[in-house]
Amino acid sequence: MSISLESIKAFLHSRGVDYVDAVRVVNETNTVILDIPRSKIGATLTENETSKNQVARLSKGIADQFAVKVVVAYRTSGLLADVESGLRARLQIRFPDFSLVLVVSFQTSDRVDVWISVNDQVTIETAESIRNCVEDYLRDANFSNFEVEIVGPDRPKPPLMAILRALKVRAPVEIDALMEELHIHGFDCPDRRWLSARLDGARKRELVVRTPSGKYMLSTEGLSSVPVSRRRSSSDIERILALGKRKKW
Amino acid sequence: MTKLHFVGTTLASQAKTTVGDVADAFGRSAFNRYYYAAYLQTRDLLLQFNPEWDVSHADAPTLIETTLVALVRKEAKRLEKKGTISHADSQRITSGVASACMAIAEVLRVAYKVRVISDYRPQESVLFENETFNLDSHTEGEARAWATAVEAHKGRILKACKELGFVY
Repeated sequence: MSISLESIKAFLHSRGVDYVDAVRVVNETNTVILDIPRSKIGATLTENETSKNQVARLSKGIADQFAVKVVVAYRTSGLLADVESGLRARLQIRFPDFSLVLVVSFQTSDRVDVWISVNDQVTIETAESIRNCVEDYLRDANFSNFEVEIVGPDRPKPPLMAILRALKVRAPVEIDALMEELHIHGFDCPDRRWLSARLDGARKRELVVRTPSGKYMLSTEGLSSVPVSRRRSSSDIERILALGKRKKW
Repeated sequence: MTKLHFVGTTLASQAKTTVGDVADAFGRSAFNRYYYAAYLQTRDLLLQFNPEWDVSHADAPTLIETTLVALVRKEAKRLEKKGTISHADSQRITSGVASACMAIAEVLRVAYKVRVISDYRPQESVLFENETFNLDSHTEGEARAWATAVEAHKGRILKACKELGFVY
């Protein structure tokens, strides 16, 4: 059944919706696309702005009424795009020697998330300068609600859940082999003592047991903590594959 | 995925060096490839969590913004209840994932819209100006950044989920 653009526009008119810039009907995919300027989206409903909840309600209304899929595309205004370009240029001028990957995401007209990936030449002090530079810029641009995340190339230390998962896959395992398993999956333990201390902590919480021969494995409690699912990366499947690869029993 | 992005940039270069209908066709195809590069990144992410999800083009943004976030939130709550992670960590992880998922969903929605225009609405022309081109006021430069943005946010999501032991 083909959808008429006029009927969608009449629906919007009947709801008093004035924040939709353009409506497109794509009969080939049974989809209605609404174009909404981000500058008209605020955290809450006000006289000049609507909220994302209102937009979600409107989308559901259209979907229910016309049996279509509704896609809402928020259009970043020229002004917000300029803010992003300005930030990019400022970082390139202030930090020309570092290769920075900048991703800016405007959640609403006054909320922005900035994510910067830095290379291994960036020291902690430089990372802090980059953060200050970004935050000053956003404050100058009148943003009060922002989040700046700087991600380095260093391999992170394994969190407890990653250690438990590695143990589930390789158990019973000695500490060196466990470090190796964690390294394969993108984590770095500072040294054996660091990992040993984490394992001792987990033993005290009865998540891990240590055999008399110095090998570690999960307790029933630990086993039930590790998430399982039907996906291809499920810890159960990885465990089976690891057992299949084992040369010595 | 990287290959599709490369094809997109190659098509964009062709569009900039030709004229008329041919330039329009190259430009449209570039937008299409840029969309697919971003979409396949998202699809790959979603299937890591559940291979049975039907990641259709129009539904992918909702799937990532609602279903994936709910899945991660549920897992974080479960681990918090068991005492394996703290309440603060649970909050930090879920809000980070929610913000990254929302960002991907928004990129995908815009990219999908532009792709649909490029594929199904030939009456809306690609406009060439200032040595670049745009479709429905979305520039080639903006489209070129779609996949990079999705990849960056995907990295954030996977990093957070590693903390839950959810992915490895």
